[in-house]
Amino acid sequence: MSADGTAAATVARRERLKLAAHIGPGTLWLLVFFVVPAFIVLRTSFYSFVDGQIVPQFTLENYLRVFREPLYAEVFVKSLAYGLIVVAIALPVGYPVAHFIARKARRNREILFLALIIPFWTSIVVRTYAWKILLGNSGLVNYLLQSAGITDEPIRFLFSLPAVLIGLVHVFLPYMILPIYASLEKQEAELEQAAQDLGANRFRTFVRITFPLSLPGVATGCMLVFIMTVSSYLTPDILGGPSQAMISNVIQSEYFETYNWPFGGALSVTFLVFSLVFFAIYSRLIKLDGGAAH
Amino acid sequence: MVNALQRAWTLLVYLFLFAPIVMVVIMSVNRSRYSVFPVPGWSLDWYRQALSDPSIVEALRTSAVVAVIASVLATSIGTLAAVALVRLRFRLRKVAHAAFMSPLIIPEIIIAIALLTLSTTLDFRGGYPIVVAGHVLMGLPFVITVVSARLYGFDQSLEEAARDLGADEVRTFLRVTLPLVLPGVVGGLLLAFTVSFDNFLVTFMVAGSEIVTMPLKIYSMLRFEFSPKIHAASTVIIFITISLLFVYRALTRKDRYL
Repeated sequence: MSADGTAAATVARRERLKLAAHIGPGTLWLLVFFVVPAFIVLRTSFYSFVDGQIVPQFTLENYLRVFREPLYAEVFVKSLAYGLIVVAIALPVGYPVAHFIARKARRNREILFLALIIPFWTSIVVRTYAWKILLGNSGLVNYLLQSAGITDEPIRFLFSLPAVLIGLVHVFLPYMILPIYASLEKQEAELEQAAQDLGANRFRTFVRITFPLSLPGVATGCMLVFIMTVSSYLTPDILGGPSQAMISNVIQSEYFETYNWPFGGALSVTFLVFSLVFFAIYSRLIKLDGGAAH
Repeated sequence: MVNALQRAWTLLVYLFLFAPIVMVVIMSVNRSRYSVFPVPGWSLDWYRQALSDPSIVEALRTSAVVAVIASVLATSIGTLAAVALVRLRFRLRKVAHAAFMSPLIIPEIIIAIALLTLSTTLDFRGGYPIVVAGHVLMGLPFVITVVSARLYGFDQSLEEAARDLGADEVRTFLRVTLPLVLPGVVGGLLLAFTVSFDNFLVTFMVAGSEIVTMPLKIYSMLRFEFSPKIHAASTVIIFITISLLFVYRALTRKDRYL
């Protein structure tokens, strides 16, 4: 081998070492604490559960049960439906807010932006149980409704679908607004100016220029809100109760209440595969706004 | 007209976002045991009771210890990874990036189940190591995002200049790269701290019976021993995380969209 070749080999080896030193710890962490355990979950999901005991005997029964028993199919469908409903509420609610911060709030922009990320920094347990106070029989919402004469008796909001939906929209709304704001803010103001100089009115400018250019942010926001809603645990648990259980609640109870880990594993694997496939298809179909995700 | 409507709408949405947080703060100084509206009178008694409840103080301490360890680990591992993802060219770069970001799109319950399974397989029965491992996993994507943004923001030729002047890799990293990315690193540290400090589901599933962090404590008070002390304790943690947010924002203001 020539001297050049040896030198090149040394450089290549040093580069590999450098790379390993940089991403080694993170990769190891992911492998040890997620990938390997996920495979153990996968293996367990093919085990049998006999008389309350996990028996290492191959079976497909757990997966058949996930798809066959209407209860579980219902929970999956319900969780996906909640995801869609929350996206359908959060998008029209959040878009004008993102647009306002990006375009119209000149001096207050920093304050509005900060205020938007405060909920993200606030404990989700606290934010969720707070709705119990607001929606309770003697809470603020019922107080306002009663003082306005809209109702005589307090309305029972808690442990119902509306309470869960209000809670979910509240928890995830910032994840809709932030990416849209980021993609609006990135747009060049000259484009809107140009459209108006060419005679487009404000509505037309918005429909033809502003909105289409903000679509990557919209797509990112919708995806984040959908995925997070579908996997919610706390909101249905605290504001909804057993009748409002979503996928995460059902998985949790398989692990902690019936101790049927093989079946819980099958539910988990199904849910994980669904999430990954959904994400893969979605990000292929729609160019996500990478820089705006956070 | 449109402007006024949009302004009013924005105001309403902010009210909606803040009402629950404000309500908790109000109820923490409400004299009555019950969360009634209008509030019958004011008192700081719930703070006194919360801060003299050993289980609450212990939970606060546990949360702080876990969050400090988890955020330091996540920041060290994440900063190294971010440098590789931004500065080094390698074949699986995109795959590596997606893998590090995956805890954001993988349902949290799945991460919790994986860790619970690992913990049982190793016969750990919960405890600090497994909780910290989970929090690091959840914090990594945030650290990597913030540090990467900072790395993209400054000129790579500064590092090349240092190397041309004879500094080796380690020296270049410590004397040039690190000081420049430091605001991003501290920002990432604060984010990872908050992610850990506020984490509920992973902790709930893997902690076992011995470790009770603040979110778990609040959850169990909500379930089993409701007392307005919960509002006082919650207000304390709201203020802790919001003050961290202001520090974070001051550090990362120049990097857009974080």
